[in-house]
Amino acid sequence: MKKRSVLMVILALGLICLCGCGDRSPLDPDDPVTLHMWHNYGGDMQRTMDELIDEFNGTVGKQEGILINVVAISSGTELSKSLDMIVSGDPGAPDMPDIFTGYPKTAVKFAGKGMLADLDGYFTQAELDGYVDSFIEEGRLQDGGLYVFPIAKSTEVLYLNRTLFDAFAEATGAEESKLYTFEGLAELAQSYYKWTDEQTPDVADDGRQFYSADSWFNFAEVGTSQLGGSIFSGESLELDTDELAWVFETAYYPAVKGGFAIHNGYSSDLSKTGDIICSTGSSAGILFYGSTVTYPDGRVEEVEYDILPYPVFENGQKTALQRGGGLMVAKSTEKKEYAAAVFLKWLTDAEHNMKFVGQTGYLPVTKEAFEQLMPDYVQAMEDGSIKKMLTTVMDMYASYTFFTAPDYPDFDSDSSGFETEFKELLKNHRTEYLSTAALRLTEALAEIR
Amino acid sequence: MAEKALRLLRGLKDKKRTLHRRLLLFFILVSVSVVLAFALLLTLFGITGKEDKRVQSNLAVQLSVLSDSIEDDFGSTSLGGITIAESISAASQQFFDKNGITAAQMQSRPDLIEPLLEQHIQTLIHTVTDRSCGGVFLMLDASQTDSDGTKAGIFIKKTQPTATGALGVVLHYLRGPADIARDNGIMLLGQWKMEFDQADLQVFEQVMDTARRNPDLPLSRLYYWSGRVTLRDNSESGFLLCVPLIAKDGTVFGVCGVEISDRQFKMLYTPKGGEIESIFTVMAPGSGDGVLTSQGLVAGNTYLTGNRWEYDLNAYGNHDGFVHYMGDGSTYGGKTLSVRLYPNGSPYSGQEWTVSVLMPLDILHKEVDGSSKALIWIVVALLAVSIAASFAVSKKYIKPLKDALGSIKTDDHKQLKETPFLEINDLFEFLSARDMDIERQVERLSGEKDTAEHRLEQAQTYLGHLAEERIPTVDRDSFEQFLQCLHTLTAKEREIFDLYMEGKQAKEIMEICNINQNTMKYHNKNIYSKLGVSSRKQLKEYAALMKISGKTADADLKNSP
Repeated sequence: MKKRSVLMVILALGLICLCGCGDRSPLDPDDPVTLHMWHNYGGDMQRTMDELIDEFNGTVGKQEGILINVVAISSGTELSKSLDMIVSGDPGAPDMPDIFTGYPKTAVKFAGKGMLADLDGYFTQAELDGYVDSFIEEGRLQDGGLYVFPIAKSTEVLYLNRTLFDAFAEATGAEESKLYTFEGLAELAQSYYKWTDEQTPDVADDGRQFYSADSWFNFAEVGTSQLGGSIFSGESLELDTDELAWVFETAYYPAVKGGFAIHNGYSSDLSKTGDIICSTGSSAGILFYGSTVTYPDGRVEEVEYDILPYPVFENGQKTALQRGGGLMVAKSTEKKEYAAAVFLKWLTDAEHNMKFVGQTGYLPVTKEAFEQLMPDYVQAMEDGSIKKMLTTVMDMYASYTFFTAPDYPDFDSDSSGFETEFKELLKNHRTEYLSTAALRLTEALAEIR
Repeated sequence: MAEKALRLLRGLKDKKRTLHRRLLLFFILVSVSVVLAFALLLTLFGITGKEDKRVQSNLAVQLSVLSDSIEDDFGSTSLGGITIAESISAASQQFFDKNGITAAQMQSRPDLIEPLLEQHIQTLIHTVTDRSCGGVFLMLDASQTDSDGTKAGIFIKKTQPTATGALGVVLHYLRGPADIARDNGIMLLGQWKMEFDQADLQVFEQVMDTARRNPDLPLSRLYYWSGRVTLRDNSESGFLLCVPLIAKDGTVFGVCGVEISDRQFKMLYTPKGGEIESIFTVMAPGSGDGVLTSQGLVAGNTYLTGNRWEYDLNAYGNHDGFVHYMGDGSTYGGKTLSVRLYPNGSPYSGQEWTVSVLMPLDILHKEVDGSSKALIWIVVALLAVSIAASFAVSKKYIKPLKDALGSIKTDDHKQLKETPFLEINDLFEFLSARDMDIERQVERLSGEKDTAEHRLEQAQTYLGHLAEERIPTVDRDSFEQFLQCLHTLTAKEREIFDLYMEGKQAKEIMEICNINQNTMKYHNKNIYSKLGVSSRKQLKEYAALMKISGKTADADLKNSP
C-alpha cells in the first residue's frame, strides 16, 4: 500500500513536471496580448488582410490570447518614412508598432539599434525548412539573424490590355511575340503611337502611349542584370556601363518620340483610362487594374487583361526582380515576440497563405504551398486575372532567375533619385523633341550618368 | 484509501468512536470553522459580492466617455462639413458666374463639370488630409457622360483614417475624373469609377430633396448623417456626413461631406480594455426598444462581434442594470445612451442615434459572477484541503498510539523501549511489573504441579501393585466368565457397563443414557446375569480389577497368572 502511494505521488509530480516543461508558451488566454500592426496591404488587398486578421483573432488568437490590432495601413514608402522617424528618434515620431511590413533595407536600420527581434529563436529548424529557402535567406541580415519574415512574395510582370492590343494587332499586324523583349516592346510602342497619331491627321503628336513602367529604376536595374551587368557597385550605383547604356537607349527613343509613357504614378492608373496598353509592375498590383477602361468622355469599355512574363532584353538572361518584403517584429517582451511568431506561423501556413495569394496575386512562401499546392490551386481557380497572374508567375519561377534589391542604407535615396532624374530627363527631352524634333541620346546618357 | 476515508467518516456517526475518529472529528471541526470564518470576513469587508457593481461602473464610465467623445467628434465633423459646403458652394457660385451659367444650368454644360471639380480638388485634399476621416466626397447633381443616372463628383479615400498632416497620409481615388487624380498624385483604386453610380446616390438624393423642401433652413440645419453605407465596390463602409450644396439662387446642386469609415470608427472608439477585454462599442440609429445595428458601426474586438452586422438588436430585458439585447440568435448585454447629432430645428432631429457599450451576454455573466464563483471555489478548495489535512494529521498523530496499543496486544511492548507519550511509557512500566509478578506465580505453580504429578505417579504405581496382589484372591473361574461374557452385552448394556467402568454412579448413568430407574434396573439385572455377578459391588470389583490389570475380554484373562 505504501509503495503504491509513493508511486502515485511520483507519477503525479512527473505529470506536473511534464506539463510545466512541455508547454513553455508565455501566452495566457485570460490575459490577451495586443500586437499593434502596420502593413502596406491597402486598397483592395486590405479586405483580404482584414478578414485574415479577424479570423486569426477569432480562432487561434482567442484560444492563445493574442489580439492583432491594425493601426496603420499605408504604402510601403509612407510606412518607411514613419519607420525612419521612429528609428531616428525624431520628435513627434509615432509609437513603434509590434509588427510591421517592410524590406530588409528597413530592417538593417532597426536591427543595427537592437530594435528588432531575431525570429530564429521562435521557429524550429524543421519549421524554417518548410519555407522557400531563398525567401528565408532574403530576410537574414549580415549577422545571420532572421529579421524579415516572408509572408507573401511577388515579382514583376507585363500587364497587357488584350482587348486594346488585339485591335491594334488586327489593324497593323503587330506581332505579340515582340512583347517578350524590351526591344520588341519599344518597336511596338513607337508603331502604336504612330498608328494612333495617324487616326487624327489634323492633330499633330496626339498619338497614345503604349507602355509604362511602375518603376523605371527597376527597369534599369533588372535590364542591366539581364544583360550580364549590374547597376550597383558596392553600396552605390554604377551607371557608367555598356549594359545600362543599352537599357537607356532602348527606353529613350519611344519615351521621347512617343510610345513609352513617363508618368508620376502607377501604370494601372493609365491602363484604367486606356492611356496605355501594357505596363510592367508588381504582380501584386493586379487588383488595381480592374476590368474596365473609362475614357475621358465617360464611356466605359469592358476589357480583358493578359499577364505576360517580364520582358527580357535581346540576348539577355531571363531575370526578374523578387519583390514583397516581409513582416518584422519589434524587440519586446518574450510574450509579445512569441505571440508575433504564433501569428506569423498561422498567416503563412499553407491554408491561410493560399487564401491570401488567391485573392491578391501574391505568391505563397512555404514549399508545400509554392511547390505542391499552387499548381492544383491555380488550375481549380475560376478564370480571371488572378488565375492568369499566378499561372504566369509560376511559369516564370520555373524558367527565370530572380534577384532581390540590395539592402544597403542609402539604397532608398539612390533608387528614388535615379527614378526622379530618369523621368525628368526623358520628359524634358520629350518636350524638346515635340518642339524641335531633336533627339540627343548621347547627351541624355551623359546626363543620367 | 477512499474506502478507508469513507469508513472513517461513517464511523463518526457511531456513539462509540475510535480514538482516531474522535481526533479526526475534532480537527475537521476546527479547520472548517476557520475557513468559514475567513469567507465570512471577506464578505463582511466587501471584498467579494460586488462584481456586478464593478462591471456596471466600468461600462457606465466607458459609455460616458465614448458617447461624449462621439458627440464631440461628430459635432466637430458636422461643423467642418458645413464649412466645406459653404466654401464649395461659394467657389462654385463664382465659377457659375464666371462662366455665365446658373447652378441649374450645369447639366447643360458638361464640359464645365471637370473644371468645376478640379477647382475643388485642393479643398477636398486638405480636408481629407487634415481631418481624421475615412474619406471626403463631393457630388454634383449633373453628369459629364451620357451614362444613365450617374452623377459627377469626387470621392477620395484615405488608407490610414486617423493620420493627419502630410505624414503617413496616402490617398486613393474612388470616384472622379482620372486626370484630376493624376494631376494631384492620387492613385486610382481598382474600384475606381469616373462618376457616382446610381446605386451610390440614394442618400445624396435624400439630402438634396430635404434641402429643396426646406429652402429657409441654413446648412447648419440641413446636414445629415447616413447610417452605414457601402459605396458600390468599395471595400470599406462608413457613416457619411452629407451637406447639401446650395447656390445663391437657392438651387441645390450637389452634396459634399466626410466619411467616418468603419476602420476609423474602430480605431477611435474601441473601449479601452482595462479590466474587461470583451467590451465593444456600437453606434447606430435607435429604434424604439432596439438598435439598428444593420446600419451601425462596431468598434472593439471584432472576433466577438464581426465587423459589420447585417441584423438589428432588440432589447428584451433589463437585468442587474444591464440592458439585454438579442439579434440573429446572439445575445448581448450592456448599456446604451442616446447621442445628439442634430440641432433643434433640423428636419432630422427626430432621428435617434444611440451609442452602446456591449458585451456578449455569456461573457458579461462570467464577468459579473466570475469573482464570486472564484471565491466559492477557493473556499471549497480550502475546505477540501483542510479535511484532507485533518485526515493526514490525525492519522500521523494517532499512529504511534495505535502502534503502542497494538504492541500491548501482542506483548511487543516489552521490546519497545520508549514512545513519544509519557503516559504510554508509564503504562509499559506498569505492565512489565505486572508481567514479572505473573511469571513468578506461574513459576511457583509449575513447581507445585510437578510435585503433584510425582505423587500421582507414586499412587498409580502403588495401585498397580495392589491390583496384582488382589487378582489371586478373586474367583478365577468367575472372573474369567465375567471377561468371556462381556461380548454378550447389548450395545446399551455395554454402554452402561462402560460407564460403570469409568466410575459413574447409577444416577449419573441414568442421566447420561436418558433412562429411568426401572430401565436402569432392567439393564443392571441383564448385565449381572450375563456376566455372572451377583451385586453391583462385585461388578465394580471385577471392573476395577480389569481396568487396573489392563485386561480385556477373553485373551487378557488367559494371559493372566
